[in-house]
Amino acid sequence: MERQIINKRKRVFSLQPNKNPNALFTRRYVSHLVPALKKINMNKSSSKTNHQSFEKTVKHEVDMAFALSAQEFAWSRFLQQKLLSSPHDDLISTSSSPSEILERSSKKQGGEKHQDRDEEGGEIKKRLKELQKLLPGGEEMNMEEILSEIGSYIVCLELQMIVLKSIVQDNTS
Amino acid sequence: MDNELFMNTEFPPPPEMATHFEPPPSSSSAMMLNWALMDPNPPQDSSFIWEKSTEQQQQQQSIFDSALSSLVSSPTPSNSNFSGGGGDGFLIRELIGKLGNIGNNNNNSGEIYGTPMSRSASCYATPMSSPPPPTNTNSQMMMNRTTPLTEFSADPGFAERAARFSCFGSRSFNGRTNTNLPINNGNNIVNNSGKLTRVSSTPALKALVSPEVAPGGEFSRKRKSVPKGKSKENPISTASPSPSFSKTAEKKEEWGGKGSKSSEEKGGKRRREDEDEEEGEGEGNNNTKPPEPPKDYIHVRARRGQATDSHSLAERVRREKIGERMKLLQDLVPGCNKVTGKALMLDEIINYVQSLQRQVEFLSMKLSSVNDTRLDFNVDALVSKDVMIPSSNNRLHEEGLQSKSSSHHHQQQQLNMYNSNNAQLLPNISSNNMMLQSPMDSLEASTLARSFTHLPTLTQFTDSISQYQMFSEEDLQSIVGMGVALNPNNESQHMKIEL
Repeated sequence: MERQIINKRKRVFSLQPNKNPNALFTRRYVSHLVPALKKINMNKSSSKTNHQSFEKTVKHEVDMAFALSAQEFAWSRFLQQKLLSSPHDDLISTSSSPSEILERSSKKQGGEKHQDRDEEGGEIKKRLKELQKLLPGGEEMNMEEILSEIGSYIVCLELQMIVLKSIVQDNTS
Repeated sequence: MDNELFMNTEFPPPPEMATHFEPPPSSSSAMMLNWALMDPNPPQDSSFIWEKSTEQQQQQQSIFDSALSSLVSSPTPSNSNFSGGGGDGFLIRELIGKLGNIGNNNNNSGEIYGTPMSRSASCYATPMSSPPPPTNTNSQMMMNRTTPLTEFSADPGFAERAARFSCFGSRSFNGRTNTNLPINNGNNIVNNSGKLTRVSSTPALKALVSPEVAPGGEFSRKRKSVPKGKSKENPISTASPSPSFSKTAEKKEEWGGKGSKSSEEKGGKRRREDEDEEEGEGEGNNNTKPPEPPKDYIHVRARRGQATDSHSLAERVRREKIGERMKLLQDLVPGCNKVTGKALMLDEIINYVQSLQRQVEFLSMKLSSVNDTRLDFNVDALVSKDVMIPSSNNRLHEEGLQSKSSSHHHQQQQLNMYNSNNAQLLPNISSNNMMLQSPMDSLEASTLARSFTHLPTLTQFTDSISQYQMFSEEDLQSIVGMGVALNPNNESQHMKIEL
């Protein structure tokens, strides 16, 4: 009986925590998001409790954590820039300062301005444009880059969803 | 005669080798050793050895084995002499590993391997990281033979030599048996001591290989593997033995894909170096040329019956790259397997990304509402609890808890899938994470545990059930239904739910 409980409470560690990119992203994401949410919670009691702005703040933090956890990709840089430049009312600076972000993201492949040498049919072009809109920074990438960035974007989105779901579940149940 | 071969190849006498390698004490293979090391004019005994070698394969192998192993073993007492000989011993050890493999296959008696093995085992021990203990048992020997080989497979120059080995096997050594090749190879390698990249660049060797027009796909395949092995940019690349040549890097992979296609199509046509405008790894395409410094171009072979100007070639390269990426995405996005054609697949991808983004928005809203109601954001609860996705089966959760070993493999497969699909995520993705169980609590650990338990549920993403039924929660489904009609870029106000 006790052993079952003990088994249930065991944790597993990876000896090489940075090797698995999924786990790496997840870990980073949680480490960004949870303190941010905590701060929001603490500040919330002091400031006005406007639900909408609160939601915005949370959303902002969620996106910020997302962008910060995936520094390897071009879209994360674009996302960061977008988040930082967008006007925000209740911007709580829980995330790192912009200078740090720029430092960290200095090593990344950016979206270069390439001319789209698309030879495919018009339909594909249309879809690519839509894809461009979806992907942060997609406007400035050509087709190849979009395709390569989208893969990582999808995976990170999925991982982010796992984390968010688990957090929500933790707090609701 | 056979000696002519070595005259033609113009091997420079390896004086370095002579100084490093002392003749092994009182072994019949000593003569052979000297011959192998010294000038192409072998002493008379060598002819005897050659004749003997053409008689029986097994015997030759043993001779060569003992010769080469004594080659290896002789420097053991004086390891300090291994300055540039460090590379030599390395190369030779590979050969021995190879030969050992051959020897293993032939089931030679243990006695032949008895003495050399002990010496070579100790030789293996010194510069290698994981030395096998030198024993004289058969099984141990077999193991010893094979374990260095596995280490060799990670050797950077091994790829080149393996390729060259196979090249020689197909080439004009018609009258020779296979076992002659190691000596020849060993000779070459021994002569090009220490400079790994020069193995492939010996012009005379290339002269041997290159004039041979590719008779069929087999040889062209081998020839293709040779330039790949010669890639100068990564002499210490993660090259693995020939079957997996093309899998080191994404670019290399692409080139390999192109190369194989084109070589099959073209048959015996010569390669052309096309200077594409795109960047790429420069690889010596032409075997006749001496090794060039790596250019920044992708060398593409012009296909038969297709335009050969640089523009169309560049286009083709681009298209192939795009096609490969689409394939990767196909694996990633669920339900894409049935769909053929770029447009439809792009449609699916777009839909999927949109749904993911919407879900994230919904979850963040839910999070904010949860934060609203619950002021105490309990991090400890996060830590201590093992959570699961609501859509996943409860069975999975329990499985993850109790039988980590069984699901581990599955998780690893899942990870491998993601790893292989996303070459961009991290360059060196290893599938073997060692898991350690410990009663310590930490956020990272629980996150990992969570992500590991949840990764199997990501298989639901790849299942070909309906895409949008990822969540069994009703409100989520309603959200998805709502979201389909809405522009995903709407403000979150539109998607507010009553909870």
